[in-house]
Amino acid sequence: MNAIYEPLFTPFKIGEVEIPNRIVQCSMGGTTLFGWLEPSHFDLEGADFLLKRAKDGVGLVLPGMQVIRDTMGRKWLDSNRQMYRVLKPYMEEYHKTGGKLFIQLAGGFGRSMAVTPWMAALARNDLLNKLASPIVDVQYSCASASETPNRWADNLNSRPFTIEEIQEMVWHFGATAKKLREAGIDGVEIHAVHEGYNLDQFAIANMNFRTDQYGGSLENRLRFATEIVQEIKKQAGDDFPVSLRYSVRSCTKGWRKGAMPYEEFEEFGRDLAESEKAVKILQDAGYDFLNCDNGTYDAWYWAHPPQYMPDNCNLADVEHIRQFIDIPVACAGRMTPEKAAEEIAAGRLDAIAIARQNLVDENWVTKIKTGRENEIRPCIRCHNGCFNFSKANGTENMQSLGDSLHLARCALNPPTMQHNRYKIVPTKKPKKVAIIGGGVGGMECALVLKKRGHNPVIFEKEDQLGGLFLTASAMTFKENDKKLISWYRDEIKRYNIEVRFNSEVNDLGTIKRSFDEIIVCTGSVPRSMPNIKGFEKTKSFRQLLREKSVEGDKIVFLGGGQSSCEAAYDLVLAGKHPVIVEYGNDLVAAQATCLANTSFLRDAMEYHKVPVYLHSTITEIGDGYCVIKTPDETFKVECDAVVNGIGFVPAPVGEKSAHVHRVGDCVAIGNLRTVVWRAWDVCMRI
Amino acid sequence: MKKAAKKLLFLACFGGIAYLCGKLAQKAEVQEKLFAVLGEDLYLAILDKVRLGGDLLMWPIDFVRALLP
Repeated sequence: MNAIYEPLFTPFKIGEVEIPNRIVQCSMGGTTLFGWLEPSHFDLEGADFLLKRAKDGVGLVLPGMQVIRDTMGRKWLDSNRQMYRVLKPYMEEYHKTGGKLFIQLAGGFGRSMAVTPWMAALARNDLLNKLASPIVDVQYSCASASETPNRWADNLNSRPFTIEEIQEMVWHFGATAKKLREAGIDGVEIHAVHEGYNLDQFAIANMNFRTDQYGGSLENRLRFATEIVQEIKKQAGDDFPVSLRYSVRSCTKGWRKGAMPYEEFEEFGRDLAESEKAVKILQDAGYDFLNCDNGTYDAWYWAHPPQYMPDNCNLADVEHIRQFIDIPVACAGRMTPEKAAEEIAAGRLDAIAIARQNLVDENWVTKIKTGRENEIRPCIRCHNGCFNFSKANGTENMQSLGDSLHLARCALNPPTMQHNRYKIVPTKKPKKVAIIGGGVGGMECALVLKKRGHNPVIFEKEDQLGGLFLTASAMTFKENDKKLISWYRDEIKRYNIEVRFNSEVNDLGTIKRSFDEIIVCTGSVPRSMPNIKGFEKTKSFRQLLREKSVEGDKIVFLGGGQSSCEAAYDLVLAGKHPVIVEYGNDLVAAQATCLANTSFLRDAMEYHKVPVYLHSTITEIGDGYCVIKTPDETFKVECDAVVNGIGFVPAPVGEKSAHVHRVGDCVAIGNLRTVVWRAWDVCMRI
Repeated sequence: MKKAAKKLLFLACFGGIAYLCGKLAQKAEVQEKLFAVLGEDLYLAILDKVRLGGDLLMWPIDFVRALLP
């Protein structure tokens, strides 16, 4: 092991419990032991995943948040006795790894509840909600400290919890913790005075207008959280460790408005000064550990940082509040193991909290321990598979039903949380397979086929692997995307897969005779709109980002999707002046792109004063200008170039047949998840 | 009574066959064969629906299991 990582592999204590190393797996919605939003049960998929993480060497694993009262079925978590009986032998097996496991118990979502259209309809109608309430009570699930606007649905306010409901919940926290301890669980984490969840809504003055003992002073606003820890200690024992998921700062400017990492702003939520006092109150109440980050659902990109946020984005704030308490503190949010090790060695931090890297590479801790850190597949923070709650102007949560049922899957690693669906089964009939195109889809196909025992050969038209992803990863802030391409190239070499560079295949007939199967992974080409006068003058993303052949300061993007917004943000960072023209009513209005990612781009455009024309189009493109048509007017804008951001169309080669398959954007335009998952779906069955 | 018994027998047979088909369909060799016969688009479309159906079926099962003592 490289010596710089050694501080990560030293033990530390939470209360009286010794954690074997400083690596904490943060809780991720979906990686639950008792099911996600469905009625609580012992979840075999979650259990398998969590055990694998402990076997990899994670010191403390926190399964996904477990709401203290089931959202579906509305049973209290302490009521399913059978579940605890199954848990006991599981924990005996788990403890053989030497790792520890705390269950994260949640006090609900409040206004952050990611309501879908049918949930919003129930919540807005008292009668319908009442009728559905034996199964699902959306008004209860959205209840908060006070009447506050829902983050997802317009015209939907939370109702305030009654004192009786709060105290009932507090008692069940204690009862559940007691049962968990009896079943062999090492501790609990309370979710959360963090990220704008329910307990955080009680804690933040601008979200809590109560006049009873749960509102007003900071002590009162933290009373819900402090009563919970006291009840747990009372019922489960003083020595049962209790962690708290805690956001140091809210980084929030107002309802649905986050602050950029480099922005000076007036804090709407909890600021650093209040946090200094809050952590002391929480420690004195009995919490043994603070698992920290920043943000709220209104500034979601702090708690779930996409690739646009800097590495270790919450570290300085977390280290600041650690000075005011004596209990250990972990920091989450794009943490790098190298930086965490340095901070732990210097005594400024106690543990590193890592979430989604655990989904993308199931052996990343082992790889660090054995000096193979360059073999770690990087997380690119796309959230496409693990956390794709999406929203645009006027919509509720647009997540598909399939994704709502299964969070915490991984775009880049399909077996994660679906190990029975995606697995490598050695083939009994090894075949010679030609793969046309060396992008991510082609490389993934080659790796799956090779691991199964087939003999794949990649035909790549350029002199390097990467395909369209070379353009998509060209922005300055996409360091991990670039690392992903390097990782793929290294894996292709490590598995000794043949690649024929500079080999463009336009006719499958020439290779059909030499191969048993062909997989076409030729990607897509930019969509064209010849009805726009001068459309042929538009530039492509490849020209702008990869070839860097588009010169000038003022670049107009025709289309406001993710590619345009990311490219525009890259230009802004370079000091240029992009303009975005979007036909729809919002930027990046795509299902399956996480609100943490899209809200950053929307907030960034607003902060940097990028002119954005919604419900608009370009009607003419000329030399040095374009004509923009908005609902109110049509006007000419001087510009240096117009970039075609209206999307892509599949560009397959050859006809499909029994032995010719297609993978990736040449089937339908998607994202890395659709590419990688289809690569597995096809290559598992060849 | 005889009719009810016949119905039960039919359901049991049907359930048994469905269970066996399900088990068989999980085998890699069977999947490879089905994939080749149906073609990738039809096969993957059916697979998608079967997976979602399976997920949805688990909800009432979990619901009932949670009610058990």
